Amino acid sequence: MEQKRITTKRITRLAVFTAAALILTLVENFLPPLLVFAPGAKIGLPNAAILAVLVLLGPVDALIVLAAKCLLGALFAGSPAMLMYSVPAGLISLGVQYLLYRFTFPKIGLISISLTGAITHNAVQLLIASLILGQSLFYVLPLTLIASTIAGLFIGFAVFYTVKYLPRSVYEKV
Amino acid sequence: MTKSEKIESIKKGKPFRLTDIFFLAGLAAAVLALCWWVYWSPPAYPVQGVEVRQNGKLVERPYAFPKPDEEPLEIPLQGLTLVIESGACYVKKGSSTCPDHACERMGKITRPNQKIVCIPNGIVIRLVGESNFISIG
Repeated sequence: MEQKRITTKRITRLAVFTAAALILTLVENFLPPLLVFAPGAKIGLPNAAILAVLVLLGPVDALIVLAAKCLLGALFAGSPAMLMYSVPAGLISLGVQYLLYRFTFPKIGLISISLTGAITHNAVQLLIASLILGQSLFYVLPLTLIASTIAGLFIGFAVFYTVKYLPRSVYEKV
Repeated sequence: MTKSEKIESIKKGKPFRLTDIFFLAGLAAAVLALCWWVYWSPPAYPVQGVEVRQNGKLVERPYAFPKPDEEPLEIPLQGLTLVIESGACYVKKGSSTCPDHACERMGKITRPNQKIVCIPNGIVIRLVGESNFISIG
């Protein structure tokens, strides 16, 4: 197994991708609801940065960026309660995407992996909301799935073209 | 396949592969089936009233629907106003104090067990049928 050393270059890369994820989080908070038919559902722009890190730098780095994005995103939004939703949903979604990318890629492409990640993310958030409210929110699930499909397609395309045109110097070893 | 080979295959490949199209088609079929089951299939029993819970506690016994020729009921709750008309209910536009007004955008609900949820105010509004009335009342 490849040993991951903490180098200046690695820390810089992680900082750049974390900053990208946070900027996308803030941009998304300023945008009006794009998926108006599914209340509460978001495109999930920061997931593009996390999936890009998973592909370019690996699962450990993706986990670090996810943790930093969840913590700092909740602090910037002034709502620590967001962590109850974002941490489990992000972890499970990243895990599913990692397994698909590790074992099924290239039979299944980045867009399908992103789609599965978006569906998992929204479904887990819905499950957590159901647990917190003590009420089943199953009625919202189909709308959530449609929103996730649109979001997953969008993010999948974004990550595909990011990886395709990103210079090798950004992610290759020195 | 190593990490570099996977990245190379993305750089040289196309965004969609044949398996992606099958995957999307399967997903679309599953979502449509679920939508039909949840929203469009005939309900098992008719709706009879509206149950409101705030922070998990039942606010009141289920509200009964007004008759078709009667005026809709407006019920002020903590953080929003609920409008109940014959066989349906919704959150009054502009009445919610939450930041994104997601509960208002949920629109009218008309089927048993369908819900309007306002997470910031901790409110869950649910349509109930005969069996729910017996268990709660």
